[in-house]
Amino acid sequence: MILHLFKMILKRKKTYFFLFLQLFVAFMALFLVMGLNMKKFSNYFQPLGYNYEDVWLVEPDFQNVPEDKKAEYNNLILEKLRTIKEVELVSAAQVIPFQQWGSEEKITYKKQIIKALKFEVDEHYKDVMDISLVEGRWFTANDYVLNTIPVVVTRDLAERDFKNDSPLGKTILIGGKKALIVGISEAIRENTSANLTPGFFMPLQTAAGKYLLKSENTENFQLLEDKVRKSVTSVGAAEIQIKQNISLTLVKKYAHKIDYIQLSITFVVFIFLLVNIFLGISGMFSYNLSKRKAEVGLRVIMGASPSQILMQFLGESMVLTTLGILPGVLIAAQMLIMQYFEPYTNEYYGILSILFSALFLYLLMLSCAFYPSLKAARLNPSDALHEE
Amino acid sequence: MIKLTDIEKIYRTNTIETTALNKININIDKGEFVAIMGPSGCGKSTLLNIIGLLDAPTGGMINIDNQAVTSLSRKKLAVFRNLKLGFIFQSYHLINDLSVIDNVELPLLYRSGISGAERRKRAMEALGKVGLGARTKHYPNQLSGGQRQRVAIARAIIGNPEILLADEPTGNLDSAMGDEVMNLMLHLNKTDGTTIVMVTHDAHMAKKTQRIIHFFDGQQVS
Repeated sequence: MILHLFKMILKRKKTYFFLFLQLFVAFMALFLVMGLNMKKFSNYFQPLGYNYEDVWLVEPDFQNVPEDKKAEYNNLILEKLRTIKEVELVSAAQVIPFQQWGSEEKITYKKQIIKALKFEVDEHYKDVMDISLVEGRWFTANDYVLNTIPVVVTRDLAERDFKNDSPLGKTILIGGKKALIVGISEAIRENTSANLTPGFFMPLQTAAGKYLLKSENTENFQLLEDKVRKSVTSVGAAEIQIKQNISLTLVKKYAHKIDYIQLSITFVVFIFLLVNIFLGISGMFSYNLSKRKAEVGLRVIMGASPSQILMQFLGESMVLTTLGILPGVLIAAQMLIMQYFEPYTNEYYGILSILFSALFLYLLMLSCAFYPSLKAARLNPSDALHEE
Repeated sequence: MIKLTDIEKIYRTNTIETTALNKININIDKGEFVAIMGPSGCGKSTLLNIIGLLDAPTGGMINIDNQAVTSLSRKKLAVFRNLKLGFIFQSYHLINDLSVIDNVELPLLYRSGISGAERRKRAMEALGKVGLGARTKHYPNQLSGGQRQRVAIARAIIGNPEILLADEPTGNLDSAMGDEVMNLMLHLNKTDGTTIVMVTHDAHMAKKTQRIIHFFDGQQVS
């Protein structure tokens, strides 16, 4: 029967051209939406590599402060923040989870140039953010006087670029400057939906402008907010404003809000697309079947039972789906082999996306075909035969 | 072979009741070739649809091959039609997207336990019987009217049915082709002993059969 259906469909390929086109476009759209979001979704279940819950973010605004005074005020603010009773530790950093991540940098190791993310932080960052070390140590203030830059690489960078070699004690070049790897930290991610970002921590090369405060009182917003504001104003420079005075938990919440808005828009577009596909396919399928009433009548007269008619048209819908999505499957597989979607998706999620998209379209097509097929199965054969 | 007892067919709408068949009693023996004649709208085709189990009568009993078929389910009716009956139509009703051989194979597609190779073999035999063994890969629109009707006959006989029901099989053909098709049916009736019921307007064709049943206004008049 399958061969019979293939023969009929191939003979009617012109009639089915738009249906094939619609299935192809639908498959590609589904594959892209799923492929690009599945990995992101799975990231929600992965560890971040740090603890943000007891951390408070402070960002003074030095826009109106003269250039030559900025460094001085920066140090003063840092000192003031350290005096707050509820604050255990302060770190100046250019890397703020959920908000500002590392910048891409080229590093040279064994004459090979590799891209990695650069995280400029100070010596307290590890303790403030509760980052675990896998091996070695974090850099200290004593390292700053050396000629080489002390560097802590993330575990994923060590695995990616050093393979079985231990990176500890190795010298690399960062922007032409020598750097010594003193430690390996756990892998870290920018936020809950982000992929791992192989990178390295190094001491601040310029003034940070942002401070992370470790405190167990981060849930008492009013208290910390007031104390931080007082500390900054106590520096005595009216031109210094406070840009951010907030817990990282709230920063995460706002970041997620944007994430959710993006996801909701994707979801709405996706549903709209699906409704259109559903209406398009079921309309086209109904129309095609309505043009084949005489054939249905003939088949019943030849001995097809209603269930055989139903199964034939459902089977036909499955063959049509297979032929419609086949080019899409091949293109998607080719894109995966070429790693076209890295780092947004990988082979595993790519294959899953192909399977789910195909399965989804098979189910969609079945649901589109079911009612028209049922109607065809219930046709009176002698009436149907005379409907050309 | 076919026994119709008090067959009635009444079409009802909200306002009108039309009697298409009124208390029809007919017996057709095994191996008989019967023609049904009458003016348009007298109920010939309705009767053929009822004998072919395509339409249910409003009243009466149908016995085919000693089996009461009026109470059979749609599924059982489909199996019964597939095994016992063959159909030939005035406008051939071939599927244009299927080749000649695929059209002929169609009834066997709905019969369980027949392999693709067996279907093909039997289709070749049936096409051989109607003289179209060389046209198996053609499509219906590449054939003449007479050839199409012969394909339809091959399709009707592939399942070795005991009864052939023909609804004006020569109606769309010129006299030469009509004769050719009629001779083919006569041959099948004679050699295979197939019972044939043919509806026709053509008295010349009807005369070639063993018995003529005349209809008028839904009633059997002779």
